[in-house]
Amino acid sequence: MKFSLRSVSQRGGRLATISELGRHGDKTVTTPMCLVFTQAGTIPHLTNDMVQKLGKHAYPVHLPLPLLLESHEILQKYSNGIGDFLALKHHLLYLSVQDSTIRPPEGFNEKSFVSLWGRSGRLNVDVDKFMSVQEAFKPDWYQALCDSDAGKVGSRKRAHKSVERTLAYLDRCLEKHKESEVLRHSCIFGSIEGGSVAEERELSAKETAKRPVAGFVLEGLDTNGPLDSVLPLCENGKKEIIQSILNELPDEKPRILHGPLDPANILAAVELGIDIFDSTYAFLVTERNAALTFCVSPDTESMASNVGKLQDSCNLQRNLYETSLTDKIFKDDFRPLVVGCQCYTCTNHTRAYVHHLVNVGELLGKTLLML
Amino acid sequence: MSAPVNHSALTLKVLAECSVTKARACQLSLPHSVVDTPVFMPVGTQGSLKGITPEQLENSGCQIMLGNTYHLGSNPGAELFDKVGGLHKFMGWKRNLLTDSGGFQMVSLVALSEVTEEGVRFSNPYDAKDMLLTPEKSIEIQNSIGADIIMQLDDVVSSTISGPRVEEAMGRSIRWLDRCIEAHKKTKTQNLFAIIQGGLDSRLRTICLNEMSKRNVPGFAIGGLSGGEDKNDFWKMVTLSTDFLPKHKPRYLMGVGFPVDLVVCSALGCDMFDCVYPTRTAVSTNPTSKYAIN
Repeated sequence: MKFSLRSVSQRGGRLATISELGRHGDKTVTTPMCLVFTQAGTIPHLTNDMVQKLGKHAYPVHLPLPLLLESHEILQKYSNGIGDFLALKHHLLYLSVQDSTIRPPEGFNEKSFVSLWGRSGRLNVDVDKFMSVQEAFKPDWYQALCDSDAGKVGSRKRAHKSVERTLAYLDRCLEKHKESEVLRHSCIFGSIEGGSVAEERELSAKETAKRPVAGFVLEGLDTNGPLDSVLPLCENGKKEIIQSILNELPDEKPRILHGPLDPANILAAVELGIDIFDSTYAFLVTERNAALTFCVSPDTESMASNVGKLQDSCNLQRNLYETSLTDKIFKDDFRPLVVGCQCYTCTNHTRAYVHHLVNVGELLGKTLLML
Repeated sequence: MSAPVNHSALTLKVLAECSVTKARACQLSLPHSVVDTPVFMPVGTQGSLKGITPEQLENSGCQIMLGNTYHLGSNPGAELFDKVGGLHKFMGWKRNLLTDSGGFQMVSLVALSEVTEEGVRFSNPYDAKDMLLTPEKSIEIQNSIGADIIMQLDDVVSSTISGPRVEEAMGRSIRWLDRCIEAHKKTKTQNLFAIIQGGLDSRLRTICLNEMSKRNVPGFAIGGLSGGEDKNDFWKMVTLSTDFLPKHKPRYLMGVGFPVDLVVCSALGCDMFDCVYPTRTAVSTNPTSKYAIN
């Protein structure tokens, strides 16, 4: 994988191109980039023909490991890799350790294994199992096994453990990666841990940067989990922590930040120097029957004009980016979700129809919102 | 009986007939598009087919689908359909729609419902209000929804019961058919089908067939079956009906069904079928598999 910077802003934000994508031939991707989040191997609510309607935006796919772990044996027998198995082989596939829409419970990682929560409960994954999974799945990119549980805020001891263990896992993963014929076209990403303890963060970043990884994932910054629990990056000194991490990382490798970040947080993160995000925000907004309706270009009429008409019970912060289709105000509103938008949903359907679908719990409601 | 008036907004062209069975292949031309029969009509109860977009449904070859008047009459309601111009426009479906009368759901879904000559009285589970669904009201809602085929309100009884209730229901269904015909305002764009009742009693079925075929409706449905009765009784009532019903009008066997039943009943001369089985199974067994059986 080759990461080429095209421009860097004064504050640290960058535009770049990633090429040499292994089995994807001449394809390139540009950053900042959004990975398309999947759940148990499918893009939520969308069948493959609907995914085609996303066009090029559907290209880099994010596969969180937890819900796929139980398919390990099947994939070993299948032997053609997870892309083929999921009918996603034409997409760039990135396998992360955790699912960024949830916060796994604290206290379940040990020195030799990390806990992942699959469909049937908790699974303990050590490096051997983890790398065996990678060899069966054959992703394009994958995040090395990591311990992102930094314990309670300010806990130095646990934060240090998360750093030490993650580096140890990384080194063993790298060893096995190097020996693996099957993974020779795959790229491995290292994770930066250390919780909220600045010294641990610096240590993690410095040490991980020394290893031959293709890029970095910034973990443990409280950006995971359900929507309402993700705090703005500008609070609790998070911006400063991110800055201190990025100061230690080389410029010529991409940086990933997972989690349902709203547009303001994404822009803040890009300005600092983060390159890759996931679409968990869009997914979680859909799950609460809302559409993303903020203005992205001057000629798209924003639904923000309806904000004033919504009831006071709605959270004001939410109104900036999303509009809930459960609101009765849309019952007989026959305009598209966003006037002027050319997406499938807006060109074929109305606010009234989507409102009806979410109101009666029809599956199609979430499909149209997900698009 | 009023003088025969053309209440038909459809034409049926019989393309071929089986030399061994009563099966026939037809082309049914309805206001929105042509339908090739025998046809299985998937059920999109609330104006949507379990996660499939209208475009996907069209691409799969579906030419006609169902909506349920009971559900749609509650949400989003007839008033909204009047505003938007019907369910076709509301959901973006260009081909044909068929709505049932709402009667079956009320009897099957609602715990406390009472049938009188006036209509079906029940307590609406959505808002606990007392409601009366009359033949007139059912047609009014169906006129608003705007489906290409609409069904009369019939007095449905379970196929597993016997006794005077069956005859009462059959007689009432005939009287309600007349009220539906009278109430129907959109004969040029919507086809009202009669529904043959009579339970598993061939005498009662014959009376009903006799009477209902005197009414000049565009098509007939065979109702009151597929409710758990013995298959040996079931097919006898089907074949009795198709023997009697006019060949140049479509026959819709309601609530059928499983694949074997579709084949057998096509051989017995039925043209149209519907069943929630494929859509219900798809949703309950595998949440990510949304394709209805075509």
